[in-house]
Amino acid sequence: MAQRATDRIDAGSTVSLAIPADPASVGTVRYFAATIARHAGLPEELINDLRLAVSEACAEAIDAGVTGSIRVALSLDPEGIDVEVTSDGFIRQEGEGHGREGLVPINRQQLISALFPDAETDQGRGMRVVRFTVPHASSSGA
Amino acid sequence: MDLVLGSRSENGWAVLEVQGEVDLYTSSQLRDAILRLTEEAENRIVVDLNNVSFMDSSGLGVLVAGLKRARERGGELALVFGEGSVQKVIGITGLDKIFPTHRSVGEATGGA
Repeated sequence: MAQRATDRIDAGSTVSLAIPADPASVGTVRYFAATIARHAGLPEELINDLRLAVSEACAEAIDAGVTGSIRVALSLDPEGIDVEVTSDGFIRQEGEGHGREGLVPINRQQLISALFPDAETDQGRGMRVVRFTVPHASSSGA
Repeated sequence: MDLVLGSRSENGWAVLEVQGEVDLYTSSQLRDAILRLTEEAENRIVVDLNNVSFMDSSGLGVLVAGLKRARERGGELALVFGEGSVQKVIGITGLDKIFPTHRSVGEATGGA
């Protein structure tokens, strides 16, 4: 019988990391998420998708001018890993761009949704939360 | 972590080799390297991504801007990458239909 991802780590556990809203910290989030996912036994293809999705969620918050911190939480359950990326001090409204010279903006939310179709975003009271689930088997839509 | 960037000429193309992770923090280094080439009138550019272990949409945005800039000058910007995470993010965003893509620098420059 195939071993499920969460057999290797306590189901119901949540591990989290908070970083300053600084581009230099986003690589740390990717490393953190990949380490947890690898420990949970996810295949490398899904780990790469998770790295990309959390990176995009953090970058979107920073692009939007978040002034506080960004917290990435990974909760292990029998279905896989529930991911929440919460940013405080979210100041820009939905749809507003953040121009950078020499860069054509790509829609980060669409990219996250392409990787994990259940992705959703809640925003209000200066906070923004991006949620998605990484299944324990390779079933992402890409 | 910084990107490692290097450029050389090959068969009339400027080949930009990129090594490392391209994200919100490092994409400005890639942008500056492409801008520098176009300012030097190098408008036929191959960006070799074979040694890029991660790329997010910040990097893609820089590449699209570089493509536009090269084409405005009558040039081209082609990408080289193998199977893996870079191929996936380029495919999932549909940019493989916008860029000329190749498996090797030699193939991109017509030298293979």
